Amino acid sequence: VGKAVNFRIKKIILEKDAEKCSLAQSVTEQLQSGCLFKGDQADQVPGIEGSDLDKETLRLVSFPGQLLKPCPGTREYLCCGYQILHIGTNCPLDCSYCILQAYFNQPSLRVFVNVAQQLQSIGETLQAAGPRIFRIGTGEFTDSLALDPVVKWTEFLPPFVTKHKNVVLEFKTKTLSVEGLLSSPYRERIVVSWSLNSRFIAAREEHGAPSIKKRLEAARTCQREGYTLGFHFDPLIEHPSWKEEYARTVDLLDHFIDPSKIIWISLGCLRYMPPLKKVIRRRFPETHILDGEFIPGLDGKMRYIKPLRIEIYGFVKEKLAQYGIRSGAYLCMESSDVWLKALGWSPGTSKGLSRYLDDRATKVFGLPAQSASTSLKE
Amino acid sequence: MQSKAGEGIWVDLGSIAEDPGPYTMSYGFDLGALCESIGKIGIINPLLVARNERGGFDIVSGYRRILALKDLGEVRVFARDVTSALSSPLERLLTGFYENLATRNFNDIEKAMILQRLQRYVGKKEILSSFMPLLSLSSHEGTLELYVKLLDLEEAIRKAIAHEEISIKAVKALVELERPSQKIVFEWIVALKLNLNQQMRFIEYAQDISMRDGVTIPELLSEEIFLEIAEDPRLNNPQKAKKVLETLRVRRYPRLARAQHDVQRAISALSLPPAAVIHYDPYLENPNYHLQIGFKDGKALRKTIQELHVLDELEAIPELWEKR
Repeated sequence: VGKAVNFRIKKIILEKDAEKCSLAQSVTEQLQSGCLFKGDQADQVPGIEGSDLDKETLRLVSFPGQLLKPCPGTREYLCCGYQILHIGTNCPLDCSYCILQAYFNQPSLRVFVNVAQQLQSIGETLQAAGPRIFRIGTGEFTDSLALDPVVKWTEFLPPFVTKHKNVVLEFKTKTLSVEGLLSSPYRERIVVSWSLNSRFIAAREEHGAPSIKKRLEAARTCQREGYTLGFHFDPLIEHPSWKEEYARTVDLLDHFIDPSKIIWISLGCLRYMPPLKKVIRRRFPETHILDGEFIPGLDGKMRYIKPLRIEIYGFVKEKLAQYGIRSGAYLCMESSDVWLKALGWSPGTSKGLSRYLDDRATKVFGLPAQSASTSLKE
Repeated sequence: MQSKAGEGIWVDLGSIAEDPGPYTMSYGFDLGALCESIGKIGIINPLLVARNERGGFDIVSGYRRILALKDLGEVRVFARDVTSALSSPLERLLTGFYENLATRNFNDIEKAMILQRLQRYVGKKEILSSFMPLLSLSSHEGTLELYVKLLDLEEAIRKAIAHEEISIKAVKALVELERPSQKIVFEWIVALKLNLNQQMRFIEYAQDISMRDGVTIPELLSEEIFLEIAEDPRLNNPQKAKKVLETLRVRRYPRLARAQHDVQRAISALSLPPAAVIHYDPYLENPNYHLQIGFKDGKALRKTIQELHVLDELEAIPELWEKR
């Protein structure tokens, strides 16, 4: 495990109710090198000393709640209407800006091993929704592919997507763990996307993650193998020579990836819930990501002052346009006036943004057309 | 209970060290009232002591009384020797703890002392679940770590904590700083008599600027601009506090502060009717201004609206963040 990224699992904890899930069995069989704790023992296992987030422990959990949920988003800014399939929480990478450091009071890597069992009921929900398009992602609370070599989501999620014609599934990652995807015969309505940043930020802040070049090489391989790609410039961070640095990343994109096969590229400036600041200062005392002028946004999250966000988005959008991205660039959790000033247009509302991305999916994957009157043009 | 009373003995006060020793938990107290009480009526409840390896005595209960007696020039005291009755250090510690718990509130440094001593004999889990609630602290590992760190702070800071001159929330931020930074931040907080909210802002601004600009906090706070404010005889303490905080804020958020200033100036320049007030998001994130009109009846409302209607200056209100 973790050949592509630099991590190892020292302990596996099989929580109550997870034992009966076949996914749990296959994971434990593959991770024979780690110490395994089962059932009642699981409550007694101490964390790995000196590792507050305990990223060397993998907990296999049967998640009791709904695994498919709308992205929490926020009412104050435009959100894209994404759905999250909760396959797990936390991630073996250790990005200094990661919101998960403050989101979860439970440490360790957690994989929800009952996801395969829940797929049937999730499928019924999706079917009952009629023609509505579901853009579903697994990379909001964990990296979609970091643990794929052992969990093998890419074996059972793509066939599920094939069965449900109104579903687009996005695997969002920073890793190079694409072996599962490459050996999968399914391509239909699967988006593989990479989080990108400047090389400066990747090297200093995305601890354990492969370089931008390596990510793009993996993306190129996937594109050559017929996958539709997405990219997420999130979080965009103000740092020395940020313009040159982000321009270089777009240049690298240009070098490796055919822009016509990209479904969407999101842009989002660094934002965080206020308690995360202390966690970042404690865990990464040398970081400079908190240097910018952050203000409490309308949703309570700290974000850069508006003109800086507009400047960053506008700059990256311009570079992407030069690269050949004519459609599909969007802002994550931003206000309509920022859209207008940075991108020159706005979907107006969250519904509008959702429709815009549904239209992209419709066009790229040849889905049944949405009502023309509701479609949005940039 | 009898078995733990110990044997009554006379103890030479010179054989008892002046520090709290391993079992007692008193800090930041005033001996005056106790000296007066002992001077008048003597010691009512016997002290508890236990023999130590150095041939002297450790105090199990009665640390403040011992200091008071020494202060009064006494040379010996009648005490109960619990060396055998309370044979383990944990028993002695808990005896002192429960005796104090029943009769008084602990200050934060005393809580820290108790937790630090307990850590020698009791597991973390038990401290969190059993002892922290008794000390009115949340059973949280981070809280335990914070309290133990309090004892590493300089004496002046510990005293201020014990006397609640600095908030525990601010101390939480303070302990994360390097020692020279702790010292100077503390000195400013005390000198300016900052309230809790101001303490938090002061530490955050100083820390942020220090990180961003690559200057140490002592270097930052020793800059002339801050020293001039501190020494300005025309300013009283609250004015100094306000000015120091504003100077730090402008340094931390230069673009925001400039934009806020521009907007405020534009709004202040308007000759608005007295009943009309324009509000805006202080962080300039919400793009809209809001107009508030106070009125006692429709006639008054119409009057204010009419005054606003003919006010040409309104068109000069800039878009928030508009470059001027």
